[in-house]
Amino acid sequence: MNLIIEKTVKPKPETAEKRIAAYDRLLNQRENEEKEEADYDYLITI
Amino acid sequence: MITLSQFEEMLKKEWVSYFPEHYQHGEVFFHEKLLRNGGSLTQVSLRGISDKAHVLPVKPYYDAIAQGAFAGNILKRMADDYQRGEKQRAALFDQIVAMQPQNFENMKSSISFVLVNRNANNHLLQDAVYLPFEDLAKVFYLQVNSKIYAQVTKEMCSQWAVTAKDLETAALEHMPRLLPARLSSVNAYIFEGKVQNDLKKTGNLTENLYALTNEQGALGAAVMLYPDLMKQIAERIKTPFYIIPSSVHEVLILPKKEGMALSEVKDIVRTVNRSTVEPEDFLSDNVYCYDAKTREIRMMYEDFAVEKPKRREREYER
Repeated sequence: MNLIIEKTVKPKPETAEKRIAAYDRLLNQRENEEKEEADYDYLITI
Repeated sequence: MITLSQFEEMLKKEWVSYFPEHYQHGEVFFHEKLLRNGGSLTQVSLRGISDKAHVLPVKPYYDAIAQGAFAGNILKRMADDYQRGEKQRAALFDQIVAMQPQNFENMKSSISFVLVNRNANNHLLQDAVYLPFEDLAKVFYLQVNSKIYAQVTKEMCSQWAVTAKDLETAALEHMPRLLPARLSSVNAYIFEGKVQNDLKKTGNLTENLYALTNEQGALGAAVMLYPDLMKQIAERIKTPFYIIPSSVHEVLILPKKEGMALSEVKDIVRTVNRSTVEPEDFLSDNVYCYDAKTREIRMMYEDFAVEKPKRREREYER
């Protein structure tokens, strides 16, 4: 039986932070755009 | 300056001469290690010396020569690194041999899997033992300890007389103990620098976004398939949630908010995959959800159904 043993390369924490921060930023951006749109609709109604 | 293939030729002809006497009948051989999502890495080793060969990546040593190092010095350094690696790994090799890997019963509790994208890993899956899951593949490994693993091969399965399904059953039973899950609120994780595990707490999960991985934070997307884990999360979130395949290392749990659409979430996934995720870490451009009725995770083709007002309320409106 041939076994190829590998070491688990622990990913750098900063790469995970970068990915997660990108999601957080884009999701917040989407939410803020939605809020701005809602404000705009409200002003027109007045 | 020599090219990479000239350096490999040099290794074939001259490397053995940099080793002590008892290595002289060894044969230099190259091994192409396949990486996730299409990449590969050339490794070199010596055949015919021992049944426990150490392997070295070729590229870093070639890069040293490309930056002006003397080739003879690099071949000597490689020979030294090889022998040092052999000594360091000797205890580990003995540990693995003592586990008697030929017997599946001995190895059952060490089986794990990682999730990779199926289309992007056709090359890797050819020799792997895997099970498809939506657009992903569960690729099986032997987890020797938290830092060392070996891919389960078709040869191993036939020697063990087991199927991929048997491996899955063993993995799901033992992985939660081998590689415990960790759920962290993104705010605490990224902005406060605290790696907490909300799975060890009780109460509702009320944050906007959570990262789900294993305690090592390595190849942890597979954690989402641990038995009953999503059920537990769903019970504590209390609203439908998207499962975002952030990378092979983690998934994100995004509770649905009013006004949020699947198409927007998918756009964000594609954007982050193209702009921020390292090619080797890419998992998927799709979004998943947990179906509380079937207790299964599935890929989302349609958004969560908007709850219609109850009959009595509609009648009242009339």
